[in-house]
Amino acid sequence: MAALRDEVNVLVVGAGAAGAAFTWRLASMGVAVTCLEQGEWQSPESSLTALENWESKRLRERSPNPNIRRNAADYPILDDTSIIKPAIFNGVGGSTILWSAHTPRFRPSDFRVKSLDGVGADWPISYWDLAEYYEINDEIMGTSGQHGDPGNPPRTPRTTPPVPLGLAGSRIADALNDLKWHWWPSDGNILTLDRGSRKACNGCGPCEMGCANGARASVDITYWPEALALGAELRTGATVRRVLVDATGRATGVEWIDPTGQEHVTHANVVVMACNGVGTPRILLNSVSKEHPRGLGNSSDQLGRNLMLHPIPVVTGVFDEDVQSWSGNDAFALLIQEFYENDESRDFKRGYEMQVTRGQGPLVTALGGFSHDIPWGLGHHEAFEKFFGHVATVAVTCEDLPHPNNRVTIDPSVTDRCGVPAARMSYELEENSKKMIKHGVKSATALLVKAGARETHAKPFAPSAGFHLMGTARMGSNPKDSFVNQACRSHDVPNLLVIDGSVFASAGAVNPTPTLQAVALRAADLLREDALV
Amino acid sequence: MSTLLDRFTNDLLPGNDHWPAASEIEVGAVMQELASTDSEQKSLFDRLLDFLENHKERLALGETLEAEDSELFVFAKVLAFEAYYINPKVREVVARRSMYANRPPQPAGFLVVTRRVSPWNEGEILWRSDGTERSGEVLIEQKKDPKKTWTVEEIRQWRR
Ligand SMILES: Cc1cc2nc3c(=O)[nH]c(=O)nc-3n(C[C@H](O)[C@H](O)[C@H](O)COP(=O)(O)OP(=O)(O)OC[C@H]3O[C@@H](n4cnc5c(N)ncnc54)[C@H](O)[C@@H]3O)c2cc1C
Ligand code: SF4
Repeated sequence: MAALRDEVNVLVVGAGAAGAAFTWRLASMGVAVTCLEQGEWQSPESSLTALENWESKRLRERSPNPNIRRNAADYPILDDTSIIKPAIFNGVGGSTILWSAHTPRFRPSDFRVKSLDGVGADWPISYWDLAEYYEINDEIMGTSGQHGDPGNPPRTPRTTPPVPLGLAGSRIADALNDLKWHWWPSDGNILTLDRGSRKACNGCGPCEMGCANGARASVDITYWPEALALGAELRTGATVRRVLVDATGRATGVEWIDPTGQEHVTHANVVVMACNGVGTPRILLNSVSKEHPRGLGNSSDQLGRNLMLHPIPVVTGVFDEDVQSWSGNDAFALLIQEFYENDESRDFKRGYEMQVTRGQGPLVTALGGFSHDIPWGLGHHEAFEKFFGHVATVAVTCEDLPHPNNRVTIDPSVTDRCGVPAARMSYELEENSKKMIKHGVKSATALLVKAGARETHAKPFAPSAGFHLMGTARMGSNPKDSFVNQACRSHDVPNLLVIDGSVFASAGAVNPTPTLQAVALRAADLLREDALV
Repeated sequence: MSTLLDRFTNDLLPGNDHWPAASEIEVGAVMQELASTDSEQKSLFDRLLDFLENHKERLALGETLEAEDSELFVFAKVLAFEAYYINPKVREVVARRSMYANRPPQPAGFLVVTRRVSPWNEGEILWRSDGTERSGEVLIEQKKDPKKTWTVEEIRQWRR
């Protein structure tokens, strides 16, 4: 069957957080833009949280691990070489379909880790270049929170008030005030008041299965409807196999497969990769040619390297009081950044944040939640009753430093439904992370004890928490040690952009999505400003 | 075979005055049904059945499996817990023995009981300069009035 051919102007690959923001921004400037997405639209009901057996679905159809979920749009990610397993979603909305929508921002120092603290790599841009874009993104996604946090540069008033602390959160806030540790109500892309067709959060719990009432933003209900109304085109069921180049080394478009197996070639003036920190290097590494034998744009050999994931140690506290820990959005209410910045008196570089998680139903509790073990057998029911509703878990997001051997590669021995090689994640904890984890566990334990926890249970890292995928096509000024420049354009291939978390030069110690969306919005503006589209 | 599965699941989840034993609510049959949706799980489930058959003389099937094949045990435990905790009777017990409202999260959601607590530090600026002039300027402004309401227009000026 011959390939079907067509031609577009700007071609974005991936309709997740970054691809949606970028497409919307260009469309709002009147630029013709087309996005190819391998998955399909998701309905609000697809969260499955209205079913009696919803917790079973959480382990299966709504698992964040694509190797467990195995939907038609999922591609294999080999993870036996990584202690942290991947957590993503493939479909319109990308991983925001399953995310928790906790949206703290990078701090200014995060962009200057090499200059300030002698580790990792600096970004060629600063917080100040992104501040305006964070604001635009907050507005479109809809952001609850409270402005005035002295722990961060100023921001505008938030869309709605913050999510409620809950009973455990209130105890922990009291404890933080006693300890004089800095905390602030978290920013989150979860509405606490109705906004248009999106309803206010009703505290149902499992945001990570999707939000049936639209309180929790995902880009399929925020950016995409607006982008399409502005004339952007979105093609679903379009699995991109590789990016094509001509003899001069410029990108000419992509080769993709539709669900019937039909091959297509779509030519474009500009190709923009937004498949996330694993998907983007996977496709670019698969785009080998005479001119680009190590993968497209990979003369630096940086493509796929420096994978940063944020190791997340977790400590669960058990309270005598029933704090109803099954209620409330699952991942955050307050943000603790007391140990965020570098402190030379500690035995590790850089720092971490802590957030308080909840929303564990009966089954997840019985299976041990984040960090406790519930015995099977005779002691099971008693232990279950002790834990269920009585716990709060502090998750410690540790800044990860880039290491060339922590990386994404491809493995042609395993392929997806379209014959594209599987991605392989290789990831180990660095010494710095191990020391930071120890410190973080100690702080989280002290906090929970101060909050009245009768006992605490710690895990050094959550193995399933591979959802912050950063660094695998990093941004930098020097083409020898980075993949894209400050405008997200490949050093080697001028009309190839990468706009997702792959471009992060450092990881910060916060969830990455608002930052990667701000980067994507800025990249769209620069493309327009430089009259490239 | 079902008696063997009953014995095994009752080892994991025995009953008491409040909680049903696994066999009372046919956890074994539900496990089989759950495992049948996926070929990998189905073959693990078949392995479990073989194991139980081959060890039926042992008194403590749970302990035996855990000691002899920990990977298969973890699979079986997760599946048994899944089958048990999605059962409506069990969820009724959960609700009776806690403050849990026994219904799916949506559409009604749950009331989040809370208290209002304010951060102790609403004034002292804590973020660190990145060494740029812009950081210096913003720090000075923010220190002057930590509670100022900023506009997007003002923030836009920060761009280089
Ligand atoms: C359970 C969970 C919880 C999370 N919680 C948070 C949180 O609280 N805060 C936060 O900041 N972040 C969180 N994240 C991470 C957040 O979802 C991601 O950072 C964000 O979605 C990344 O955006 P992206 O556009 O780079 O990639 P994605 O959103 O993953 O989108 C990539 C898209 O590209 C498509 N694609 C990939 N390959 C191809 C191909 N070959 N052809 C066509 N299309 C392709 C995929 O199908 C996908 O739709 C969470 C993620 C998960 C899974
Ligand atoms: S807790 Fe709130 S935001 Fe989360 S899924 Fe439920 S309604 Fe949506």
